[in-house]
Amino acid sequence: MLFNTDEFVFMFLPATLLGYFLLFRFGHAKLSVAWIVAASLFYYGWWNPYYVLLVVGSILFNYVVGQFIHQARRGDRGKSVRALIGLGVVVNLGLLGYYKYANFFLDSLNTVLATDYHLGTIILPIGISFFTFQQIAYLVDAGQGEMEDSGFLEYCLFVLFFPQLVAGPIVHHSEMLPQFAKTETFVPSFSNFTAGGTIFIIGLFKKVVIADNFALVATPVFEAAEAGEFIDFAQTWEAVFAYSMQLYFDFSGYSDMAIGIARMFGVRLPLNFQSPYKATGIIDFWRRWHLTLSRFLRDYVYIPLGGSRRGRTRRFINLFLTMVIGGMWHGAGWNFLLWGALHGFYLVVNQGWRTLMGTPSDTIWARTAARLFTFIVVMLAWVPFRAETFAGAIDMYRGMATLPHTWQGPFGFLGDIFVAVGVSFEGRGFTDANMAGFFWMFVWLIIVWVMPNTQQIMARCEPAFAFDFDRQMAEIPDLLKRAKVLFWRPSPTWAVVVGLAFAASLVSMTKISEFLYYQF
Amino acid sequence: MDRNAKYLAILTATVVIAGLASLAVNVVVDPYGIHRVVSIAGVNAIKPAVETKVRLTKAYQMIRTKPEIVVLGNSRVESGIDTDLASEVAKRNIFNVGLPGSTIYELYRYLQHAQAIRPLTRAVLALDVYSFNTNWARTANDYLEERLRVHPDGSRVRYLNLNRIRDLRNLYLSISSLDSARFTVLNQNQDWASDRTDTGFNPMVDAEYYFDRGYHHVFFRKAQGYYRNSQRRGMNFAPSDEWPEGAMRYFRDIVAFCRREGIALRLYIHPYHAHVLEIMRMTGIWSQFEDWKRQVVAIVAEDADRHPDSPPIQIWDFSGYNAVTTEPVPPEGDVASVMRWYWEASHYKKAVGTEIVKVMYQVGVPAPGARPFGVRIDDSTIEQHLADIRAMGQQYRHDRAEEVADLEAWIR
Repeated sequence: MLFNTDEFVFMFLPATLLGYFLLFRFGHAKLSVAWIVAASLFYYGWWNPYYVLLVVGSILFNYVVGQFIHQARRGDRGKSVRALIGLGVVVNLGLLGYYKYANFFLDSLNTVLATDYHLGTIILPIGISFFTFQQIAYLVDAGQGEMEDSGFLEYCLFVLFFPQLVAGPIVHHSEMLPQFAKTETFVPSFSNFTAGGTIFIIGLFKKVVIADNFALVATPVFEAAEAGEFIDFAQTWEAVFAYSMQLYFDFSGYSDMAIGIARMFGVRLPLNFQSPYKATGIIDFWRRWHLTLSRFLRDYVYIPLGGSRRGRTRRFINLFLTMVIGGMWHGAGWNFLLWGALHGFYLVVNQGWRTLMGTPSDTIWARTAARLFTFIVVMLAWVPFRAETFAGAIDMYRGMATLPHTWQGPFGFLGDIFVAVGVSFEGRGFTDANMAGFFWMFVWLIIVWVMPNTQQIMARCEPAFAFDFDRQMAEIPDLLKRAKVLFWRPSPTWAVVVGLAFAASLVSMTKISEFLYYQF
Repeated sequence: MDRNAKYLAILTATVVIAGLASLAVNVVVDPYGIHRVVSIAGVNAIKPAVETKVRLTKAYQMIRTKPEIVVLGNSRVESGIDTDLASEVAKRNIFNVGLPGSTIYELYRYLQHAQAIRPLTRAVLALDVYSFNTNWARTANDYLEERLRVHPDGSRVRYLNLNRIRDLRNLYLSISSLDSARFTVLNQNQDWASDRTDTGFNPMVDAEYYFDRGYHHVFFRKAQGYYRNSQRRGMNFAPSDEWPEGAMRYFRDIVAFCRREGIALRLYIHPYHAHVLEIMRMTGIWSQFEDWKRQVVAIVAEDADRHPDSPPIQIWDFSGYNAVTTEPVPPEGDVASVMRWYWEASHYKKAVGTEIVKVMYQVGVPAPGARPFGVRIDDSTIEQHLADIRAMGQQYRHDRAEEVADLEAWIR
């Protein structure tokens, strides 16, 4: 059940909220938590009831192993602890590997060795990457004694909590278990409900009104590339730009919706986005994009690999490897590998540049130039991320380098250099529609660079876990900071604005499209 | 009142008001012509948005208009049988269930739907061999079972089922409907804008489109489309994945249904322009076309045997080489000539529909030059009839050798 469906908005969510309110109201606090767990299982089973068994099995296994780890730690048996963690990690990765990577591995093997092994179609259990990672983190940390024991019900909720079950944010046990253990968390309140509902509506609007309309520009061109049709400069750049916007509004919209729904139940989820296209470098970008994944990769991949502790070269290699693994986390395919490798390369260059040049200058011009450059390289990396095949990605790049034929003259001898590096001047000239497209690209770039994001708009109501109000406000340009209307409060005016956004989203919801991150 | 509670109340009220506004726009502008509460020339009188949603429109429209007579068929019926005129002349509530590209299955379902709304006295079914092709999908994208009053087995569709609720939501509370409303208002004065009247008729007019390039171009384009489709899809009446029981079964169901329900059914085979007949020959589906007619006649004969005391169902075949179907196509480049009977090879004008009705019901005076047209056929005359058409075809190719050669050159 997707968040952007009538079934979810008008049936599942109200019914779940109502049950939770009533159970709490009649003094069954524990039962109301159990109710959310049950609703989460139902939610997961909606896609494929068979996979409920899988997720339940995964929870039981990890909880039991976690308990053994606790006991072993208390008995100070270091060896057993390590063995148990090893077992846990291997089983979790094995499950993920089977469902997500087995066919890719076999296909690659078949290609290399010219063999013909087949497993048949394996349907990827939705969200498996998310709940597997959360539990690996739980086991590893349990071994290091970084947490207290938790009850089974809380543990179930930690893994299953439906707002973030299938597409994140990837929550950390240290954020969730303490919240779940406190009864106060679940005390129903109007203020949680209005704040959560508003965040949910903002997310829904980002998804169905903004992202889905960008998809209309992006999808046909990427499909044309897959089909091997002729594509050139204007349409490819427009499509890649549109996809960059689509992905951002889709995924950050989804994250907002998750944060908003959780908040209606009194739970605060961590932020997943921090206006990523405002980044002034790739290092900065990864502190803004899919934060909960970056954090996981840092703590459970990069640091275990050695992090920065073994010299600069090892550090760069570790960075690169972490990004490649991060790419493969998104899916089994060479295009994701290429995407990860590109970001790994970018990060190494960015780190190297910093080492050489020191701290970047902080004038508005330097920032803008850095932002634009960062945005362009990030866009370039989205190409393989979006393309269905490796060949499709290459065709897209070729299209981006197919400049209008009218440009060859003006470039003079530079044109020859361009041709030498693979650019061609065989593209069509610009149409009025192209020019309008460029104008809109400019407008949207200003929007994502200047406007406050969801958590900044909602800053007054502490929209996320460990929310840093001052840091959030520090990012907003002074001019906008003074515009008080930009910042939400439960006023009649905001009620009308948000109500209209909700209505616009509801009428747009009739064309159902999946969230891009459901596939990972 | 707590300010959060007040906020929620205002937010909810805003959503409800916006929803009501969307509902009001869709009812008042009525882009699909379902309600026709207000009809203002230049604002919403014509309904260009119906074009892509005919199945939706007509299913709901019929519920309101409650026809007592239906004419069933595909787009040829929709633009060829002027049900506005027929309703007026016959003083009966006649509805045009012409569904573009429809299959015989869909027509059976819409017949059931009409009967469930109001018992029918008569039905005319226009038969098109292409509607029986089981290599095609059995239902179109805009077809929805739950929109109709009854299930295929005749049981009533529950009023509140999920698909129907979703359908109504799409109709009244969706961006696509609002977009259709906008499209409707903005295209009232375009001479190419299509329309559907309240009897389901598509009153096509000679638009600029024809005067730009002439009938020859449009005619041959369409012929080419026919040729390519026949090449790609072939012709098949036997069971396929989508049609587990084959196509003839639904024709048999229609005949039996009308008998059981006391609906006076009359059948006719479309007056395909001779070019379409020639294309059938060129693509090698001519013998299947003849076979199909034999099967149709046989099913009707079975029914007659079973009901010896009632008059048999009449079948009229207009598909030969006759006064109407052999109308010459203006030469290439001629943008002034207007054809009398045809829009293009597959769609005939309403003047042809009028002649069809005159022949089938033996009423009125034939238009000048419109005879011979149409032959009544049954199982005793079918073989002779098919032989006659073959002979006339030969004569046609002899007399119009140049035109046929032109056609052949064009489509290949």
